[in-house]
Amino acid sequence: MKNSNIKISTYIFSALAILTLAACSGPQVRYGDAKAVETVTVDYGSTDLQSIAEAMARSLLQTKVISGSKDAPTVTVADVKNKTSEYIDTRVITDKIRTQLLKSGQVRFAVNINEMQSQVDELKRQNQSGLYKNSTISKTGNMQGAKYRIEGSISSIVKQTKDVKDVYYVFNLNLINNETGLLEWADEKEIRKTATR
Amino acid sequence: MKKYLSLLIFLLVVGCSSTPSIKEMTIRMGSTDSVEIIDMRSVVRNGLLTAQVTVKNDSSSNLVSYRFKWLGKNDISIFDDEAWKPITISKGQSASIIGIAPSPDAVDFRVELNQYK
Repeated sequence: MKNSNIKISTYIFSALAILTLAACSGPQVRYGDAKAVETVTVDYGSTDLQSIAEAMARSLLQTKVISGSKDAPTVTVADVKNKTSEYIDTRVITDKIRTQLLKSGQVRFAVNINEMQSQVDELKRQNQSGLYKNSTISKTGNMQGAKYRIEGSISSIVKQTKDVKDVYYVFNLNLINNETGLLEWADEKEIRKTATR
Repeated sequence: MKKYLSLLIFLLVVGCSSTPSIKEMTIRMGSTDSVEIIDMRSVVRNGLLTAQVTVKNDSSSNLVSYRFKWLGKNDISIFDDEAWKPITISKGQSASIIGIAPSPDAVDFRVELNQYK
């Protein structure tokens, strides 16, 4: 009798131990699809970033200035102003656009203002330190200026009631000729997201 | 006899070289049966392949996401997968989806449809 009692209690104990281990094994982590549609909240998200960058890059590739020119024109990226009330990293949007344009091989990019410091540092290091062989140095005074620049802005309109929150984004992008100041291309992307309770 | 043979060969050649149907150019994932593709056309504009697909929703409001897959010579994919783009189509509404190729190397395309929650 005592033996069977001990046996039963051992089984119950081990069953409980297994269940506890299974329950306390922590949150389940899984890799998701980076390109999937994200609908976690109504705020600016990855799908918005991806669709804006793609739409702008594709539209820019079609402009006469780029598609019609024999050599790939040089472009630089200026600021994209965030006129919304959210925190949006606009540099990521322009970096994405720049990557897509570079991959297409139709556009060449010159170093922009944010990257100038590292460019200047590198040139200084090569030319003024006296450490490098003269024939292998990248000489100062040979940087190529950009013929065009890309700049834009993103703004939003947020409307909210007890049950509904509606956010409308509009992203504007312009291609400006640096020398003449003319606007060679402009496009916009509109996004609407609605959250209902 | 020779006439019939040459006619048969002619028909075979024409049949084998026909352009792919809309169904062949659409890849569906998830439950997208209510969304019908009623038109598909493409043109090379400014050196880039531009595709236009008209979709129609037959059932109640459905949330569908789409993306284009761009193919170069030998049906090889150009660029990584695009991001899924959501589109909301009400019942009976037809919407035009336009895709522009990411590079001049694209010569063909496929449309991928998926549902999104």
